[in-house]
Amino acid sequence: MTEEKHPQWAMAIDLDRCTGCEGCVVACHAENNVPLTSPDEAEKGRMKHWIRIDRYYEGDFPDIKVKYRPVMCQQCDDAPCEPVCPVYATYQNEEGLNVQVYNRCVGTRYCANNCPYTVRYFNYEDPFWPEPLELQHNPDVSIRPGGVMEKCTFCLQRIQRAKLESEENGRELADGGVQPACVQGCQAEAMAFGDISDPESKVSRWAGSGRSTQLLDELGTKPRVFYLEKGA
Amino acid sequence: MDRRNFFKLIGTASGGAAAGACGKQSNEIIPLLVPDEQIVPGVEEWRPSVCPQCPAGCGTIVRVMRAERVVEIDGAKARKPIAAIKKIEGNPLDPVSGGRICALGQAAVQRLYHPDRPRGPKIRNGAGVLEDAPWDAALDRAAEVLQAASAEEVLYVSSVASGSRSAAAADFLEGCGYPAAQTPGTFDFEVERAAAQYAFGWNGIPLYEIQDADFVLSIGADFLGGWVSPVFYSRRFGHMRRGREGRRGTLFHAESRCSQTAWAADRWLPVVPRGEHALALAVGALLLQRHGKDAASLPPALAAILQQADVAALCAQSGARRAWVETAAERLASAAAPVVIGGASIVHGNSVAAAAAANALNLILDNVGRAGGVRPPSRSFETTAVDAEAVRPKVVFLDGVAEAALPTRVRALLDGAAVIAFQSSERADVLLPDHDALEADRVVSPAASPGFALTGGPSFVRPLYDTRATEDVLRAIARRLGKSIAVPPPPYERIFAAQEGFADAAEFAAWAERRGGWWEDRSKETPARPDPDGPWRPASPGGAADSEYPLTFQTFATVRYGDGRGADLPWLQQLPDPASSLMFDLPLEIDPAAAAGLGIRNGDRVAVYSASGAVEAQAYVNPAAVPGVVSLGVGGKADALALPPPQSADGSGAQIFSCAVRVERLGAAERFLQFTRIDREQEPVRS
Repeated sequence: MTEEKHPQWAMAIDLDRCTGCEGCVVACHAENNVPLTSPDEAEKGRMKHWIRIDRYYEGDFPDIKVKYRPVMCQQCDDAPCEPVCPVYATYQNEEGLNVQVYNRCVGTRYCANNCPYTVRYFNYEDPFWPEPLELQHNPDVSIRPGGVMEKCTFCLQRIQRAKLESEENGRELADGGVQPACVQGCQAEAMAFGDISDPESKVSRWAGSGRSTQLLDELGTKPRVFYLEKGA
Repeated sequence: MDRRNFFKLIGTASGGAAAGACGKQSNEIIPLLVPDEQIVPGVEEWRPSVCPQCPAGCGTIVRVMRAERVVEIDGAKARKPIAAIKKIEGNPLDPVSGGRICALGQAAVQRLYHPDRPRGPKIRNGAGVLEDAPWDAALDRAAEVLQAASAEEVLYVSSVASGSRSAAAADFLEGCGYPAAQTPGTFDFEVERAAAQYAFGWNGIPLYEIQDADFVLSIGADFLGGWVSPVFYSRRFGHMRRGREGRRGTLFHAESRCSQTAWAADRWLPVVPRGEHALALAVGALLLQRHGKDAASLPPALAAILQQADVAALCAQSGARRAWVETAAERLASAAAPVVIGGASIVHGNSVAAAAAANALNLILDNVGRAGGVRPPSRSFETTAVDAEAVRPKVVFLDGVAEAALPTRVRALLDGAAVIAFQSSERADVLLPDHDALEADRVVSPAASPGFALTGGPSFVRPLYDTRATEDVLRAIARRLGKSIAVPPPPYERIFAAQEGFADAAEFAAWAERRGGWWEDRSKETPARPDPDGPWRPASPGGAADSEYPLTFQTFATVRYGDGRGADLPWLQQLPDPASSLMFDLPLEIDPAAAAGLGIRNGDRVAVYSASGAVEAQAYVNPAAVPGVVSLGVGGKADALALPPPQSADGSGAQIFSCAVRVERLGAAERFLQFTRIDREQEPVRS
């Protein structure tokens, strides 16, 4: 019996194309029913953006540059968030995704404390959408209640759907056949997503670029998000 | 187009064909409305549409699925299944969006489901309160105020967007004998259009082929932010940078604010406000004097100015570092495919002259109509901005304009008039709410596209509330005035005469509606004919400050709120401002030296005074702010357009966005809600 080969999902972001427009941030909210944040919650530091744009100024005026990068869960192969969860609510699946089992999470927040990328968001309250904003909710994604940790899933629901469709059609899932919402919306086409175990995939080619880096790679977390640095 | 999107669209088209094969009548296929009672739980439909959030007219696809809405029936609450919109994405077939979409466009669905959306008509009563009214009463009131005014006393203010709505408004105004619709004079590209007319003799906004360029110099146009068509130009930018094997394009950007385009540029050339003109002339002078470029294609007056110009003096006037200006000119001169973008995201008094001079650099570079150069506009613009001196309206229609984007001179006209509005407006005396754009039949012609385009189609979800299509409302008002306005043919049928391969207009329209639009590949070839009598003049000094008002203020459209129309949408409110990371508002950006001089720290409440007005805001000490310049985007809690004087740029009709101001600190930060407070990578978090 041969072992089933699973795709190994990864993302690459070309910072030379990225404009920092934050279209990916809103695309993620729309796709994943990410809870709205009120000013009161924001004041307590409880904002929720599964993907954010880190922005730093470098140098001094007039020779000043703005350094920015979209940051979401890095889906680490050696994820510091996983071993600290007392109830195994977060683990790496066979496709390399660092998944979060919402109905297992008991809200210890150890995982968020241990994440060097600060990309895990805790629901201190039940989420609320003023009527009729809830009509927009994506029925493919569950609403996470208060007391539960949430984060970027690489749009797991889109991956599942694409896999089911390809099975139904009897076709192999083609490179580019799955796009997380952030990748699909990206105006400058700065993001690539796919199977890193396929050397011909776009994400593999981008990740193999001489400009490719990984965020905080010195920590040994082995992130699955690759950043192609700016410049000639 | 990726495979996923390919199947989405084929699904839309072949689904219709399959329905026909099953014996359904074709008229159930062509109108794309999804009947609430027929929608299958769990099954998605993707319908082509057009984004309503700005004049860019991005083609979109909209995901429709079953949802349940709580309604009240005979006093009891009940759940009613409806067809609801779940997601908006770019239409991969559309030449503007190419399957992509911006933050503002994504958030359009929150306009549809906004809790504060008007749910029916309203009339302002004797006590000055806007109260609910039946449609007949509201239409009667609208007709009544119109009957009390002469034709010249009616002013129709609309956005610059062109399409089925503007055609319906034009039919109404012409049929009733009223003046043509006019635009507010903000964010309607009056400067760009005037500059294109002078530099090229073109009516419209030129197309900059940056995707094929090697070197791009943008002067004043934040084309990756709140300018003409952010998605269109972001796609082109991405391609220029890394879409061509072994060929990376370079971008230099000159502007008086560190905007989204400045962020992405290889080199930002900070200039003082009004300094763009001097910078464009300096680059032109270098091209002629140092790099031996030919001035033959230039208007003689401009050629003479450039040939005699003192580059060092112009650089000093612009505020830009001379070495960087020289590098920009050198790169332009040596590039195989150079292009210069001339625009005015921040409109100054000399912006037409500046943008015209910037555009004219393309004539020197001989790149008009060439790959990587500049091409004629994809569509013409017929609208003009309101001339507040020439009108004294008794009735003003407000149609599709963001209130935050109304300049003070137009607001003053509203104060003395009866206001008929079609969208939520605090100024309305009669509110005749339109369907949301996602509920309405809507076809627009994008502001910039590779060729002439019509995008959009019929509605596909039923209106949520007691709203009516403004096209129908205008005809109803006309009937009350004793006029008859004919129902026009559908937009795609109007252009059928130019099509081949279709049996009749209806077949063509159905085909276009299923794809989401009809698009030409290239704009019409039109040779450049610069105007010898254009605003070709030496640069005047930059800045606007004086002793009473020592700082220069400027406002602009943001990537987050656009011209202000996104400011009430929850996703955009909680989105961090790119520069300051502030959520729920826009800050006054001030440079560190000016802030230190005034004792201002991040989040402090400040007052900004100009000769025309005053506003209060929270300050953000921006390390990238041009010294002596304070900036505040449109659409935040502070009314940015209250500060500039009611003047237009070079007589173009475009409201100027800058002026001299004084800033005072009012007090310490009370609630400055930044997503991150860290500006420098190695900086510790401030308490």
